[in-house]
Amino acid sequence: MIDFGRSYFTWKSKPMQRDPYYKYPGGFVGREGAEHRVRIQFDAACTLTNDKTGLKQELFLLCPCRTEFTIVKDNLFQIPNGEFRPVFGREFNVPISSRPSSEPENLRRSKLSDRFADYSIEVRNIEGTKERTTPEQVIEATTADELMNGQTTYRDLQRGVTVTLEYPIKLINLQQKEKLFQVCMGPVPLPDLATWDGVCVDRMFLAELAFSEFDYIEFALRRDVEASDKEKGWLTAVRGRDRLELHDSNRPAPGAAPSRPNLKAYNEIISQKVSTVILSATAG
Amino acid sequence: MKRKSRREFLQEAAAGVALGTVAGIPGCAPSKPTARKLLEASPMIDFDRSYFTWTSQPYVPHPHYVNDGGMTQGAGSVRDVRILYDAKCDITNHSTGQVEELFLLHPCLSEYTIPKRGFFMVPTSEFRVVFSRSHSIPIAKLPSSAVETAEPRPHKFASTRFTTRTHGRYTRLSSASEVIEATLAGKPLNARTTHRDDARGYTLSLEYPVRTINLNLEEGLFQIDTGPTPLPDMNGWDGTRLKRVFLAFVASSDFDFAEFILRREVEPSEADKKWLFQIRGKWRWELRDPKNPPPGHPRRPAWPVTYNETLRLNATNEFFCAEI
Repeated sequence: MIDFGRSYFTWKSKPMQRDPYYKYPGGFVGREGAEHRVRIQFDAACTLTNDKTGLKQELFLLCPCRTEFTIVKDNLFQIPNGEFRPVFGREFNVPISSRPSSEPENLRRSKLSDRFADYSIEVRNIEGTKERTTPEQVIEATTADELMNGQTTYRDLQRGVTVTLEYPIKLINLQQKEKLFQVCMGPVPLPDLATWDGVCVDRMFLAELAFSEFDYIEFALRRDVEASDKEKGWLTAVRGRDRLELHDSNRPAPGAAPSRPNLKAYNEIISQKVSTVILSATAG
Repeated sequence: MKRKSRREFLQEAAAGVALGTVAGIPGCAPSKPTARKLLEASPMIDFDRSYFTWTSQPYVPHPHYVNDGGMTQGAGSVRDVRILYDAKCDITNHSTGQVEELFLLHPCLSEYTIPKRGFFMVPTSEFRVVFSRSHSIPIAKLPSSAVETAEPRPHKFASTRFTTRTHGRYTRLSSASEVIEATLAGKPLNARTTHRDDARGYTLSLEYPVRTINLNLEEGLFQIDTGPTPLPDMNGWDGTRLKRVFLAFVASSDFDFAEFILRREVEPSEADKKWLFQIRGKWRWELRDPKNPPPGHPRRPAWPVTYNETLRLNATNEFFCAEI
């Protein structure tokens, strides 16, 4: 049972180099050659297992922050502001989708070793866990204020891959008299199995989940939403430093300019037959 | 490139801190964390192990709405809900000494409880609350300059339970190098941001877990960027209670200021409203009698949110690490 509140991904950046076009690449405001380390807590985890080879790919959804300039004393937040939230594994960075699952995107996973000078993953576990296999046991653990994780597993037989999600149960409803429970929380990193190639996937969805039984779950997937024209004026206005400021305004970077952050909403619902195990432990 | 083990990676990083590789820069000198026993009244909260639980009154069907509150189990059913803490804010009234505690709880999507299928309400909306011990405090949907009509509502629960767990052993970090060292040692961190306004007679004290932190070892710098936190709108404070709270992320790179970015709603485009506001499954606002709707029916679906307005407060930041 992962101790999500005490587990971290830490990376060390490559020495900062002058971008040929942009003044603040990645939001970094510092001298050339500077190196940054960033530590982010885990939110949830997803393990992909190749059913044929047994090889596993662990992916960790990290906690979000807001896009920022680092490390500065004023105007810390980038305006317009977006969310920074990655899915990092032991080997790969897998991009998070901004579209519905039916729309393919030109997304590809990348190697973390290409991106960072170094990185480390610290997964801490909670000892003394118990499996809670009945609603009565789930109710008992909840009312005793025990720590609880869900482990939800499903298989894609055609593609030969098994998905296991692990997440801390941050919100749970009970109806004790009727012996009912319902978990509703998130987000979790949900793999787009249409992009599975036997090793990993190239796209993840950010999803909230809900279930009231051990063999069925529903996910609500997040996607981008366009703001109305009347909101775009203030929403896209730059304040403070401009993340996209050019060294030379007469010499823009080739290709389309990077987009500004979009709004997000959960809309698409996916249901799935699963096997969910609820683990609990005393807080200690 | 040969990957280093975690131990090698962190040892090398920690050595950089201890050596103070850029001499003369404040906060970079080698130091040991000062183990200072803090006041018993304010130990370091263990947010990932703290819960608020309420037990509802027996459900009474709504006079107008079939799916009121998402309840599907019918009249008389009683629901317990347990939610993890996200962050906390204390407001101290200087005149009376009264402390109002605000707990920001973890969000979920609005749901029907407890069916076998069809859990999510679509159009979706976030369910997220800020509770004091006695009231639910509205979360702002608009910028700080706009007035909203929402009012705090007294709890109507049958019972409530705040299980606030704290770390048994923790250390206050009094320099940038101590913050860096604790981060690299993999210790859980909390920040406590205190802002005092003597003219208006209050002190705000926010406590929150530092989930994201940036470090520059060579220059002895750090920057937190984490949230959300419940930031009170003190314009509506009557000395006891607030009218609303902003949901805000907080960033800081020093011990004496905090920059907040406030959340607000944004109207979506007309094209996106078509799919975003489409009802699927049960409708939350389905009327028992379509000919007899209550005033204001139906409520506007929730709009997406963004973080835009920033606010800088002169504040004292204290950092704590748990010894685990």
